[in-house]
Order: sequence, then C-alpha cells, then structure tokens
Amino acid sequence: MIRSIRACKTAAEERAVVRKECAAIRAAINENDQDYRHRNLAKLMFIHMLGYPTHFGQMECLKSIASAGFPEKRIGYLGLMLLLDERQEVLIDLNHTNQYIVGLALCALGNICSAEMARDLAPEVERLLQFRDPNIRKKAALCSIRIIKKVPDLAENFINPAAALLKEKHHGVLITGIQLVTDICKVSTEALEFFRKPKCLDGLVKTLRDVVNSPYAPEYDIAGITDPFLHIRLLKLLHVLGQGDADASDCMNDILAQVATKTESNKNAGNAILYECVETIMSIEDNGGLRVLAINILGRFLSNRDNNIRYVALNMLMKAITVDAQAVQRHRATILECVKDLDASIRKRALELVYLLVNESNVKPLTKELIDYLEISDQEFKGDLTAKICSMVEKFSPDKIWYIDQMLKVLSEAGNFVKDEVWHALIVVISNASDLHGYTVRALYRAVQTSIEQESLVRVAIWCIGEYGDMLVNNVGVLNIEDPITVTESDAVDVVEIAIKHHSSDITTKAMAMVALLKLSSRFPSCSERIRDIIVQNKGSLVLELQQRSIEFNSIVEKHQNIRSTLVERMPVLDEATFSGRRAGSLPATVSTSSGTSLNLPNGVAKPAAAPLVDLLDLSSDDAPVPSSSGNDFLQDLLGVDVSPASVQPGTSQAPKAGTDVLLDLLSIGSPPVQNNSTPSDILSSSQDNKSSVAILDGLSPAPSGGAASMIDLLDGFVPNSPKPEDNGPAYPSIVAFESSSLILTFNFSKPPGNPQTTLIQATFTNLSPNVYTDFVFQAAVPKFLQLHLDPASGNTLPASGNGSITQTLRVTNSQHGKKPLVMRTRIAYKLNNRDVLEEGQINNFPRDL
Amino acid sequence: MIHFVLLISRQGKVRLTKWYSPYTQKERSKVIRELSGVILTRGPKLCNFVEWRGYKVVYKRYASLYFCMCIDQEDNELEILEIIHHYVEILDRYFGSVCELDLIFNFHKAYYILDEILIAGELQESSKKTVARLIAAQDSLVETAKEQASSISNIIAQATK
Repeated sequence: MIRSIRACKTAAEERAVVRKECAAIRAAINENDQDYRHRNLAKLMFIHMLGYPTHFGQMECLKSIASAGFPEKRIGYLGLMLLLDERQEVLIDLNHTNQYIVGLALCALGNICSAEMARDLAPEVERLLQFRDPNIRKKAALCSIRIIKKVPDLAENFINPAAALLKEKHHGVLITGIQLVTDICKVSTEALEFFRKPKCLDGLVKTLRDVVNSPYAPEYDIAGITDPFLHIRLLKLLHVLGQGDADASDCMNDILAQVATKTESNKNAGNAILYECVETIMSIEDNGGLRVLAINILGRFLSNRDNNIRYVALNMLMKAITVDAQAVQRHRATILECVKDLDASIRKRALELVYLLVNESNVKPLTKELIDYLEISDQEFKGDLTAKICSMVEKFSPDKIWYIDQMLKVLSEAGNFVKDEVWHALIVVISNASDLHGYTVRALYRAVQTSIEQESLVRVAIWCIGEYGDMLVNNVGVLNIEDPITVTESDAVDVVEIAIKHHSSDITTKAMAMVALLKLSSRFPSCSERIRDIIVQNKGSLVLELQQRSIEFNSIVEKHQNIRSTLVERMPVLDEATFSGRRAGSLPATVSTSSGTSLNLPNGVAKPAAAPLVDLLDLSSDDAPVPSSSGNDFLQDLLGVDVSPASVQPGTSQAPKAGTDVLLDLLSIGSPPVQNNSTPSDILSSSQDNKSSVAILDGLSPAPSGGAASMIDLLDGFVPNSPKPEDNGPAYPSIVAFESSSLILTFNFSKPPGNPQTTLIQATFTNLSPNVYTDFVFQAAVPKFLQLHLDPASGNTLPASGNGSITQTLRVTNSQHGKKPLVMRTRIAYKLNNRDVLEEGQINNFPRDL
Repeated sequence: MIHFVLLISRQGKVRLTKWYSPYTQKERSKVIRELSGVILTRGPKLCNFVEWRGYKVVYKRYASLYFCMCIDQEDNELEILEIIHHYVEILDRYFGSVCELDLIFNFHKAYYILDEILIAGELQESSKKTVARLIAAQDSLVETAKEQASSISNIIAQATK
C-alpha cells in the first residue's frame, strides 16, 4: 500500500488511493477480521502520518491491545500512542507475564498517561521498579517520572526505590534511575534533603569518578568517552543537589575539577560534557578556583569555529555574568565579534550579552562599535540593535554632548526604528543643555541634509530648528570642535519646507513642521511672507489636523503680529527629573497616544490651543498649580504633537487626573468661566473656510473650543487674566455643557442649603435637528473625587427642532470642594431614524466654585 | 525533557512524529507546519539550535532527513545532538546502512526503536548493543507468533476440509 501511495503523482490521486484503502480497512473492521488486524492498523497509522483523519480506527487499536497475541499487542500499543493522545483512558495489562508486553505497557503509560491513570497505576509501577529484568526496571523508572510530573504528591513513595536504583551497575537502569532522582528532587524538597545526605552524595560522586576513569568499553563508547550520557546525567543530578547547599557543593568540587580538566573537547560528546560541567559549576555554591576554570572553558568555546559551540558559550556567559562579571569582561572583544556573525541566533545572543556587559567605563568604545555595525547590519536585526544602543546610551552616557552625538548618529542611520520615547527623551536633554543648543541645532541641520528619510531625525531636527533657529543662523555658541557653517534664514526655512513636502513625512512630522514654521516666522521676520505661503498651502489639506493648524497659524501670522513673538517664545526648559520620573511611572493605558497615524479628533481640537497657551502661561507668569497628567504626554503636547490634553508645566506632584484638560487649569486661574458658546468664533476671520472648520471643531467638543475661542478672545483684547470673582456667589450661571450641530445640553445649577459640597444640576436637552430622537439616554462619568447621582430623565424621546426638551436632574458631590472644580465626561446615545448615534464629550466649563 | 521528535524530509514531508507532551491534533499540525518552515529555510552553516516559542529546537540533517527534537530551556543542547546521533546509529545498525526509504516502508520499526531509546521524553538506554538486542528479541517473538498462527490455521483448514 505504501508503494502505491508513493507512486501517486498528484495530491488528488493520493487522496483517491487513501480513500480506497480506508474503505477497505473499514470493511475489514466491520467483519471483525482477526488475521489482518495488525496489518490494517499499520496501514491506518501510515495514513494518519500523512495527515488524513483516522478516528474510525481507534476502537480497532483498543481491540488489538486487548487481544492475546504479541504482534497484535505490539502494533496495538503503537497505534495507541500514535493515534490517541493523553485524553483516552485505556486498560493496561501491567501484570502480564511476558516481559515484553509489560515493557510495551510501561512505554505506552510513560508516554500518554493522564493524572487519574497515574494515580491508579502508581503502585504497580512502583512494584515493577524492583523487577528482576533491567529492561523493565528502566522503563518503570521513566514511567515513574511521568507519574510524578502528573501527580507530584506521589513523589514520596518513589524515593526509596529510586535510591536503590542509584546503586545499579547496568547503565541503562542507572541513567533512568538518575533521571528519576533528579525529577523527584525537583518536585519534593524532602527528597532533596534525603539525597543530599553524604552517604548518597558520596555514592554518586564515586559513580561519576568510575565512569570518568573507566577504561575503554566498546559497548558504551562514543567518540572515545565512555557513556557520555551517563556523565551528563550525573552532572545534572549533582547540579540539582549542589544548588544552594554548601556542604554538598564541597563534596563535588574535586570531581568537577577532574571532569573539567580531563575531558577532551575535540568532539561534540566531550563538549556536551564540558558544557554540562560548566553549567553545574555556575550553579553550585561559590568556589573561586572552579569558577575561573569554568569561565576559561567558556572562553575556549567562544573561539571555537563551530557555531553550535559558540552559541552555547554565549548562552552560558549570560548566566555567568551574574556570578562573575569581571571574568566575562575579559572576553568582551570576542563577544563583540560575535555580534557581527553571519548566524542570526548567534548575533542575537551576542547582542544581549554585550548589553549586559555595558558599564560606565566601556560604554564609549562599545557604542562606537555597535553604531559602526548598525550601518551594515540587515533590516531585521536593526530594530533590536537600535533599541539596545539607545537604552545603553541613555543609561550610561557620561556627558550630554556625547549623548547628543551618539543619538544623532543613531537617528541618521536608523531613525525609523527608534521608538517615540527615545527621541522625546533626546529632546528633553537637548532643551536642558542650554550651552549646547547652538551646537545641536547645527549638527541636526547637517544631519538632515543627508538623511531626510529618517523620520525621527527629521522630527527632532525641525523641532530644534524651530526653537533655536536664530542660533543656527547667527552661529551662536559655536564650540571649538565644530566646523564653521553658514546658514541663512531661508536655508533654515528650506529644511522645514522640505520636511513638509517630502513624500514620506507622516502627519506628526508635518504637524510639527507647521509649528516650527510659526516659530520661525516670528524669529525670522524677513521670511515671514514665504512662511505664510507655505502654511497656507495646507489650508485645504484633507487631514483635519493640518488644515486646522494651517488656518490658525495663518491667522496668527496675518493679524496678530503684535503677540506673535510672545506666542512662540523660547520653550521653558523641560524638567528632566520629572520627565524621567513620569516616564517611568507612566501607565500605558491611561492617556491615549496616537503616534502620528490616527488623529484623535476631539483632542485635536484642544491641542492647537494648547501650544500658544503654553507660552501664554509663560507670559502671564502665573503660578497656577497645574495638575500633572499621567505619562509623558505633556511633552508631546509641548512639541505640538497630537495627543490628548496634558498638563503644561512640570509642576509639583499632584494626583494625575485622567483627562484633565489644560484649559481647565487656565480656567482655574480665574479667566471667566462663563462660556458663551453661541458665538465662538468671532475672532477668527470670517472667511468661509474658517467658519466651516470651526463649526467642525464645535461639532466635536464645543467646550474646549469654546474655551479656546474665549482665550483667543483674550488675545485680541489683551485682557489680563485676573481672576474674576463674580462666580463665587451662590447664584451660579448656567452653562452650555455640550453643543453639537444637532443637540444642545444646558446645565442649571443650584446648591441645596447647608451642604456646600453638593450641587444640583438641572440638565436640559434640546434637539436642534429636524428629526426626532428616540431612545435618548444620557450617561456621565466623573473623576474619583466627585460623586454623581443621576435621577431618571423626564422622557426618552426628544422632539425635533427644539419643540420640546428632556430634563434630568444630577446630583454631584465634590469632596475637593473649593480645591478642584467639577469636570465630567458625557455620553449621549439616541436613535435617529432607527440608526444608533453616539455623542461623547467632556464638560470642563463648570463654574469654578461648585 | 524532550517534548516531541519530528523527522521531516527536505521537501517538508513528515516521516515520523512522536509527542511526549499533550498537544491536540490541531496544535500538532500547526507545530509541524511552523517548524518545517523555520528549519527547512536555515542555511547549512548555521548552528543547529533554534529558539522557538520559548523552547529550544535542536535539529540535525542526515542526507535528506531533518531530525528535530524540541527541548526545554534548561536542557543541554549538545547532549540532544548526541541523542539524535545515537538514534541514527542504531537505525543504521538495524537496517544496515539506513536510507529514507527504509524509514518510509518500515516506519513502525522506526517507532519501536525510538521507544527503546526514549520514554516520556527522557533517555532510556545509552548502549546501542542492548537496544539492538531487545529489538531483535521482540522481532523474534513476532516471528514465532506468526508462524504459530499460520500453522494452526493450516491445521484447522485441513481439518475442516
């Protein structure tokens, strides 16, 4: 049959043949054909190996096992092991007189038994451990291993029989016995203590010594060593016994030294023994001389030409580092060579090892080597390599200028692999190293000329050029090591323009470039027109983010030149300590970070207002306490990168308020909290574009945009941000909490007498669209310091065009009354023409003293 | 412990599989597909160890067959190479200069031999002679049983004629 299957040329033919055979087998099974049962089973197994389903044969297996003849049993058990897996329960005849049958049963049990089977048959197996035939004893030992793995509680029963096995002469039984003891010791500490006793241990050591010193034995000889398997097993057992126990370790020292020195290592068998020996030495209690020996062996392995040996050496060295870092440092050069090896597995291991070896003294040469290699490494490896280099440089850099240099090199080579937090950290460092600003921006300018495709490099560069453009052009702060370079204003603008126009720039880069252009338009007044042209080109961009920025910045450049320079003043120095602390503690899930690809639209509204507002705070030099945001997104905010609202200045550590808007803080400085959202955009020019874009803004989350509008309102009139006390009285003005093109939600406030912390809010929903809303549901969420109670609504159908409204009463208790104002997130769900609609928003314009 | 043993041909056909850990049928085929992809694409000079799903897979190529064994992280890879070689040598002795065809047509015998070398994922016998002796003994049992069966049926056939 096999021949006929192999003769098939196509898969379809093969399937046909197999189907025919299966049919024949099924017929034979139905007839209960005794003679050919084992032949049929064999055929079934072959077919199974080819991948066809063979469930109908499983009963045949069982019947076969149950039958008396040896061939049937043999093939039955084979079928059992192959076709069935652990989940089948089977009666097994361990008590048979024929030892081969017992052997078969033990074999099957060893391979597939389940926990219940193990429990039932454990006593039988235990008995068989003392059987006269060594063949059965060794099979029983391995079977016991399986039983113990499945049911660890039974381990104690096997301790004594296992101890007896250790005194065997027969190698097979000895190997399996040792294996059994090793596994018992792993599972049960009691056993571990038992076997650590000097009597046992000495016996083991003696056995090992005998094997090491034994003369040539043809039966067990492999590559000139007598039974390397036995060597290795014994060493493993010594490893388990010696780990953590000083006395036991002492006993073994001599024999380990002997094995380590005497074993020949030109063949794989010898190397395997040496490897195991080194592993054992590393894990048992400290013995200086032995450790040195072990590391020398590893050093020898490292320079071996065989890839396998080098691989295991690297593996071992990683464990050895924890033990003796000095010794491993000696082999640094060889390890560095391995990073450049052709073999991918070796490269990976070597890189990890190098990373562990880095410390302050060797970081410079190591980094140099790795960066050189970065240029020629292949793509899959670059990602790993970049990540490691970056973290190395960050942790161990001795001075700022070196750090900046290395990061620039990495960015130029492999900027696309660099993670966001890495270049954020770089920017923090740059902003802190004020004497290096000029140097940095010039270096970046040079780098960008050559490596424009590296996204992260471009981003860092345009940020720096935006911030320190004047230094670039005026050659401020030139260090001795620099080459002179003249950059005109228009050259600088060129760079940013290329960044915007380049085909591979993504949205984050383009957005950052726009902010940079705004800054440059203020610093380089001569280029202002040109910059305005570039900005205006994005007015019609399909991406909301860019369109919005373009329009707003355009209006700033055109109409608000008086405040423009103050808007884009030098960014305040980002506090490194707080940044790294926050970065370390940042929770990944809290603040949404869209790394340039997806635009979080509601957030996009708040964000552009944030950038100029940052500097506004600078201007007003208010010491407003600023609630910090979670994570490092405040930095992204400052960079003008899109992200959910975050705090503005590194402030004193305050409990992060998820979703706290920066505007809330500004509002808390005391700017008028009365938000009149009905005329939000009077400042922005009345061109049609602006109206529509602002309308979109409104549609998403009017409260922040309302805030933004009123802020820019302030800009026009230059109204100082003095606190207006008018809202401190008991009468609280009502606010429009949420407004979209089709829905208005107003809140009316009142305080119940005697309880200043509680506020009663009357919420009114009005439908502006011509369609009726059904199944209207309002949901709200508040931060932890607030308690919210929603009374049932007056109804859940909202008539069209403002012909009626739904009211609902909310009760809010502010445990931080007076310290923190109210803030609420809302979700409104309704059905419009049987289609589900969901509107979400955040309400930040609560009157301050609620 | 060894979790499974796979023998794959250069074309990706499975010649032998032995599982010492519980894997469902679907998992088994998935594992085979994955490992075939990884191992068959490796170059000749690369090292014989592959990290895969948190385990190590040790493989060795003999003529057109890849012998793969999957082990835990803490096991000794070089020893597994020796075990693979041990198995191959015993097969060689048994079949007399074994080739892939022998293993295809006598796969059940290959399994029997593997069962004498490994149980429950651990090495059972390190002496090639002993293994050969045991297999020979079991084969002779099969022979005698077959002879008996055929002789009895002969007698009965004749008796009932």
